[in-house]
Amino acid sequence: MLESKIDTREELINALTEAAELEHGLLCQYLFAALSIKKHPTEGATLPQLELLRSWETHILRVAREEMAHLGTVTNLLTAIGGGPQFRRPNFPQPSRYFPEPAKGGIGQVEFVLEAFSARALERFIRFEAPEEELKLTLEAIGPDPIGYDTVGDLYTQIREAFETLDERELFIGPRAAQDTDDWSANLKIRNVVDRATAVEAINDIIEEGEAAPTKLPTSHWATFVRISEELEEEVKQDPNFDPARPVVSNPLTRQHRDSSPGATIINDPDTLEIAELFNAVYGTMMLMLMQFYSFAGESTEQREGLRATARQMMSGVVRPLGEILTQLPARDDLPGRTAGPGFEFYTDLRVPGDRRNSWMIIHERLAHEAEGCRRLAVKTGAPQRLAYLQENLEGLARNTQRFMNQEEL
Amino acid sequence: MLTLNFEGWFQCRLATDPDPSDEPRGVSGWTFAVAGEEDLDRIIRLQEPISPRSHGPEVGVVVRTVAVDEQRIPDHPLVGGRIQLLDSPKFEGRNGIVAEDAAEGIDPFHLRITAGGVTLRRRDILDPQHPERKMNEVDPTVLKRRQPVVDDPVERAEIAEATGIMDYLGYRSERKKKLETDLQGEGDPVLRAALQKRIADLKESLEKPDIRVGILGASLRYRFAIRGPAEVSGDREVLGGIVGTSPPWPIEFWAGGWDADALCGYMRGRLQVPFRPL
Repeated sequence: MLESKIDTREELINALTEAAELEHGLLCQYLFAALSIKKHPTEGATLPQLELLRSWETHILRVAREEMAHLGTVTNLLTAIGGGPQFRRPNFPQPSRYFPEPAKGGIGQVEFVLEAFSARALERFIRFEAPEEELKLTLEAIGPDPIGYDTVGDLYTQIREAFETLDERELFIGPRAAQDTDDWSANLKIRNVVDRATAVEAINDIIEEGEAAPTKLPTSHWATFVRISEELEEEVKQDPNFDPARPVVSNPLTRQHRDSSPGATIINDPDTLEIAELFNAVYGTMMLMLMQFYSFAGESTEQREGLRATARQMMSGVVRPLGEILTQLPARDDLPGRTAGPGFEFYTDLRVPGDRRNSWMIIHERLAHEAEGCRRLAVKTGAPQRLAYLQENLEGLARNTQRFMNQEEL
Repeated sequence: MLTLNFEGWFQCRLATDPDPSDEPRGVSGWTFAVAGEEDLDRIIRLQEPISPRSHGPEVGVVVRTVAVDEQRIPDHPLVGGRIQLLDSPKFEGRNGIVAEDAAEGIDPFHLRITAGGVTLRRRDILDPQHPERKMNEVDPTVLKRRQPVVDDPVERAEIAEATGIMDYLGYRSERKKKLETDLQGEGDPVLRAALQKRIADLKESLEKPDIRVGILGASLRYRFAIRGPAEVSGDREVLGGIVGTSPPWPIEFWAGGWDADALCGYMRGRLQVPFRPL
């Protein structure tokens, strides 16, 4: 047994790919939990409890947004060393794919599942973001070493060590123009990576934002989840009947996927199913935009700005509200009273076409199709009122992308 | 020409980025509804606010002065008239889908002025080719006419003079003190929760001043001509003249001085209406 080390470009790309997949998976789980939190007195919480619930949702959504920024920074790290962006991840649930080898004294595997906000969900989140204790030991072989880590911070510590030790002149071969330096929204900075110093700085930021102790950074993800967990425990002591979340089922999916594990709840309410499929479609379109943005195939500055802005607008203008709508809709006829939620499903392996014009055309077509689908769902009897507004947003997004598509035709 | 100068505070209970623009309670942005208040609805109310916040400005946009052919008439019947925007107008931005921050137009724009038996009402048509279209449905080139003008910013000094807010931090600090005093004597758990949320928000922005402070000095200036069908009553009898209803009515105003705690802003402007004395 030799101490594991990421000591080749291939291993570093593999580790960063794993980190990107992790960040993506984490943010989906955080979003799911946040969107399941009750918002109205009709849902069985007192008005003062709703204030507490709002503050928890605020903090969890902030953590989710920071995970999005981490995903952007990891993508910059990948492209800086010649790797490609990684937005693929397997469908939920994934009980044992991540945190594969418990460290000595570690807690062990932690499931990647979509579940309602609860003490149990918080326990998993705390585990994800816990300060790392020690590095893993794994075998060294001719092929790339398997990736072993016990926490998110543990994985990043190994990646940082690789950036500190691998030959800087040979490592940074990626095009600088592919780096994302934009401020996406609400002061979320994505770190620019061009050399060893900027890479280490970016990783330090990610580690600190994730696992810093409350005294050092009260807003770190770990500290945030610990604090919410304590507040939840205290509120339950005061009111044993307190239930903070909507009755969402775990892992609500529209179908069973080949790459997901058992444990999904397949939605069979016909109206909910259609809205869940619409959610997955718009989520997929947003991912395509991000993939095109980070792949950088020579888009103009205006087009890049358009991709960035449209992906951001999709998130706040469609994905989040649609996900929230799903947490209030029935999931299955044999689970009365239980509701669905956003499944973040990939129906296929999304790929960006090599031809820019085709990329824009596909994005535009998808948005127009999704707007039409949303319109059809919005006019159904009993449809959630917010759908009509989201339809208008999708139509606006389709119109906006048409402009960029037209630029390609000139 | 009949010139009406109007001003006053309005209410706009809207969610802010990165919240979805139709977010009902306010979670991620810097505005929110507190316990016991109705959901956020984005509507610009120039009169009759809903769930008005304690210690906030008094809402009401009214005609301050009137001039006929540039001659000010202090006792004109329209002085003190209530300005209203009808049909649930909103700042249409949708987090950049329709317009970016500070580029939002107001839609619909349906103005009504009432005073002493006189009513002037006119709705602007955004796209004469497609009069039914809303702001989120028109081409950006059509939209531009109703977006804020970019080359003529309002001086912060004018905003301060209009709102009376000379010290942004001091204004919010004073609000916080008043709410803290209220909290000490408040026994109702719902009102306590509402006060605590507002106090926490004010405290956070005072410790690390951000947009919630700076926006007290920000504004959007609009300048266009209202060109839809007009409705006028009482002009001959009360005003002693005829109001022109075919030519567009030029209007210019700014909305700003945003009080993020009270969910209010200040509006000051001028409407010009063709007028022929009898």
